[in-house]
Parts: sequence; C-alpha cells; structure tokens
Amino acid sequence: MNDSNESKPSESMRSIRVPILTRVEGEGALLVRLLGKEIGEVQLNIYEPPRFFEALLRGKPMEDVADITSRICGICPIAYQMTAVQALENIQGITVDPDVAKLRRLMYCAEWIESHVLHIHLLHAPDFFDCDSAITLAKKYPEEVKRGLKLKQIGNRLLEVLGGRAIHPINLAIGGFYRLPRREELAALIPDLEWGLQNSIDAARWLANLPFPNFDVAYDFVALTHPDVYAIESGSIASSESPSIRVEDYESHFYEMHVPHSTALQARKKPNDTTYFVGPLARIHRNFDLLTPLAKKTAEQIGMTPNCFNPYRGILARAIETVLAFEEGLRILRSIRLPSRSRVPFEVRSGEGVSATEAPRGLIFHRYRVDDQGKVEFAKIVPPTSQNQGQIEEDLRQLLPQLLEFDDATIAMDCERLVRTYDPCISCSTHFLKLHLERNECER
Amino acid sequence: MRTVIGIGSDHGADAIGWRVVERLRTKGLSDTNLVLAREPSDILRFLDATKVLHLVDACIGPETGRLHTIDWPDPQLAKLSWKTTHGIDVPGALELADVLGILPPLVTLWCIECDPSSGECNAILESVTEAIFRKISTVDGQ
Repeated sequence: MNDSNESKPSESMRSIRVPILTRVEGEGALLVRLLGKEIGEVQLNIYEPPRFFEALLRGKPMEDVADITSRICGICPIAYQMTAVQALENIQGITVDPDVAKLRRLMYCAEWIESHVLHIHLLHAPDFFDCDSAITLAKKYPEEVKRGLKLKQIGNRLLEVLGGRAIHPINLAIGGFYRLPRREELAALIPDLEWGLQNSIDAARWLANLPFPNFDVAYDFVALTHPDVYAIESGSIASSESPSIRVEDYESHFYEMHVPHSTALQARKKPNDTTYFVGPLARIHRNFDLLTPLAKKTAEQIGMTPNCFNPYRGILARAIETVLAFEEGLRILRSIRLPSRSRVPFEVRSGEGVSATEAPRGLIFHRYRVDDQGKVEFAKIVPPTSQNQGQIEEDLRQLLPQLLEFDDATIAMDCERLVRTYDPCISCSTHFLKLHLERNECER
Repeated sequence: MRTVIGIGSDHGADAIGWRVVERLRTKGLSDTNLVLAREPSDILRFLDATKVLHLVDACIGPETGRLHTIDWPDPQLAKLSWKTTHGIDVPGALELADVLGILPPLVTLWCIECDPSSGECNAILESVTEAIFRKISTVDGQ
C-alpha cells in the first residue's frame, strides 16, 4: 500500500511521503533532497531499534549461538546459524565429516530456494508487469505464481527434513547435526526436486524478456569464491582489487560505521571508504564458470552474463541461483552417504574464530571469541543488507538525475523499485520504507 | 479436511497463535491438520485438500484475551492494520489464494487481543484455546 501525498514541483520546498513501501523486508525510510537540478542528501534511513544480538550473545554457552542467531531473520536463518556454527567450529578445531558438510550445503540450497523464489514471485516480479502487488500479478499470471509457490514449498520441505522445521530450524549443531535425516526422508525429496529443477528453469525463461531499465553501475562486486564449487557455505572473499581475501582478513579490508540517519551500521571497503555490492549479481560475476551445468546453460539462454552490472537484472541472477540450488540439491541427494555419526565430539577450548558464507542476499561474516568454559565473550555479525546500504544510496544518487523531470509519485515509485532490486532485509519485524522527498526548486 | 494454522513466532505475545495450535493438538480434533506458520505467505502451503480453514493470530488490543472472529471475506479486514515482516500480510495471502483458486470455501480468522509490552500471553492461553476448540468443534460439526 503506497499512500502517496503527491504534489507538483513548485518554487518552494516540497515533501512527498510514502508511509509504507511494500514488498521489501524490514522497516525504514528514504530521504531525498533535491535542490533544483542538483541531488542533495540521499539517505536510506533505517529507524528500527537495534536488537543488540551481539550483546545478547555475550555470556551465553556457544551451543546456544545457532538458536539465538537464527532468530535474526525468519527468511534466512540458516545463513546465520551456519556462519555462527562454522566460526565456533574453527575455534574448537573441528572439521566436520565430508557427508555432514554435503548435508549442510543441501540445507543452504533449501534456504536459497525459499528466499529467492519468495522474492522473485511475490516481491520483485510485480514491478516488471505493472502490478502493484503479487495479488495483481496472480490475476495476470496465475499459473506462474502457482508454480512459484510450489517451488517455495519444496524449499520449505527440504529445510524441514534437514533442519527439523522450516521455521527457525533447530538441527544444526557444533560439529554436525543434532540428528541426521533418515535415508527414506531424503529419497522421498528427489521427485519434488526433479520437478523443481525443470520448473525453476521455466521460471527463469519466463523472466528473461522483462523490460529491464537501462541502468548500469560500476559496482565493486564482493562475494565468496571457491576453486571447485559455486561458493555458498565456504570460500575466500573476492573484490575488485583482491581476488582472494582470507575470511580471517575480512576486517582488514572492510569495516562498519555508524551514520546519523540509520540505526543499522553501514559497511565500507578500505582504504578509500568505498561502497560495494554483495548478493546474487556479485556471486554470478565472481563465479560464473562454476555455475552448475543446467544453471549455466539457462543463464546463457536467458542472456545472463558474468558482467551484468544492472541491478534490475538481479531477478535473473536469483532465478539462475534457484536453478543451481535445485540442481546442486539433487546432486547431493542422489550421492549422499549418511555418515556414521551425526556430529564430531570435541573438548571445549578458548579462542577466537571467524566464518563467512553466502546468505541469499549476499556475504555474511561472523566473528566470535569464547572462554575456556565455552561461553561467548565477544560476537560480531555483519549481515548482507548492512553491506549493501551504502551502495543503495549511491545507486539512488546515480538514478535520480534521470528522474528529475517526473512528478514526485513517479520518483518515489522508481526509487522504491530500485531499492527492491536488492531484496533488502532490514529486519524481521515489520514493513519497510517511508519516502520523504524534499525539493527546492530555487536557483542556487 | 480441516486445517488450523497458528500464525506468529516463538516470542512474546506474537507466540499466542502457535501456543493455541499446540494446545489444540492435545484435544483430539479428527481430520484436522494443525500447523504453524511464521510468514503469512506460508498459509498457501497448507491449503491442499482443505475444506475449512481456521487462522489463529495475535492482534494488538487493550483487552488481553478478547477473541475476535472474522469470516472471510469481510470488508473490515481491509480496514485493519496488519503487521507483517515479509511483504505480504494475512489478508493479502488469503486474497492471493482466492485469486489462484486454492482458497477453501470456509475461512475463519481468530484474532486474540494481546498487549505486546506484557510479553507472553500464558495467562489467557487455556481460556482462548478452549473457546476456539468449542467453536471449531460445534461449527464444523465435530
């Protein structure tokens, strides 16, 4: 629901408010100041109160960390759990069994399917079909939306089997899993994933010819890379200047900072305080050659190249990664040998450890320090959306000069659409955005 | 088949929908699928073969424990302010299901007034569960 208070440009300062921007996750506001033909401030204003998860974790047993961090996000709990558990395993010197590692990758694929399919069909696609909501889209394309819902259900089911439940899964443990899935449970998933693979390809083809605006940005794409596989749950970090940054060195290259207009931290890249882009477009840019065969073939068929710098085409990147998640999921399901033990035993030791994985929305980084009793002394969590916030503001600054001749409602709508391409997850509590646009038409 | 969906999360007053459904699981409702949903779009997962749908959700109100029932479709749904995390709210999910032709013929929303600042709603859990159980059993002919 967009409740625009529209007004025509005038000689005095003007304001436009969009109280709620739909189809994004979380709650925030956008402030744009226009001074004649010049762009003034552009601020993605996140006003949700901080939830202090990092402080909440201090003093907690490390076994509780996965359950607590999964509550950060209802859409991507596995990203938080997996990154946390791997960081803690690094502290404890644990290497999980290879087949446990495969099951974890399968679990992550389930989350990518759920999150990507939700964003593609219910949140983002309506923008390209002149629809104001998924409901309007469903009236025009009922079979495509039904297909999307079924694809999402398969992701949910896969997560239920591996995680114990689709909502805030509870099965990931330090050293492995609390309980291994049963062989027959995994086998029963194969027909659904086969259906999902074919239909995710069809979904990608459906999206191929959308009217994408001409808008390229010289992004610094930052994503995990891995020598052997499309990086999801492990790898080193690649950016424009550094093809391989060890995860341990993340904080030597990137930092978070407070900005006055946001309760969320923003990230920048050292040494020049530059913004950067994380997410599916960045992953495909860095890892195109490691896409699974059908995902790569589909990418080529729909014109998705590794050098795509158009954020609106992020919907295609998500569609390709959905194909990849189904294909990779099937490969694992068909080849998995259930390990003899669900998790590696360990003796608690103190220390510090990090991990980075690829959440559906992009790179996520965790660092923990635990004492010799296994209690958390320090926690740092850098989610993807905080890393993208600065880039979103830069994008808007680049887009706005093209919009100055339009009325305020059009500007508001186009700004919202650009923000939505990032699939921002500002928090898990409510809606997202108020747009506050101020124009001053006086000559400067 | 009848489906009862608790909507919410594991936390505070928002958990009341889940807790009610968990209690209903102990009451032996026959031919009933009792499930939990966190995001409203998840409602759409549970509609196959469902003829009667009940949704149980928390709502903010001054009289903790007061129970409201709304039968779909009802114009007052459009006037209510629904809070949701993930882009589509409860009426939106129902409307989407309706557009797609998968909405069951009978849909009832049970909204339980809670005060979010007061934390858990355990004090009212038994009474609202019993009230919902009685009405579901009676109305659906159990």
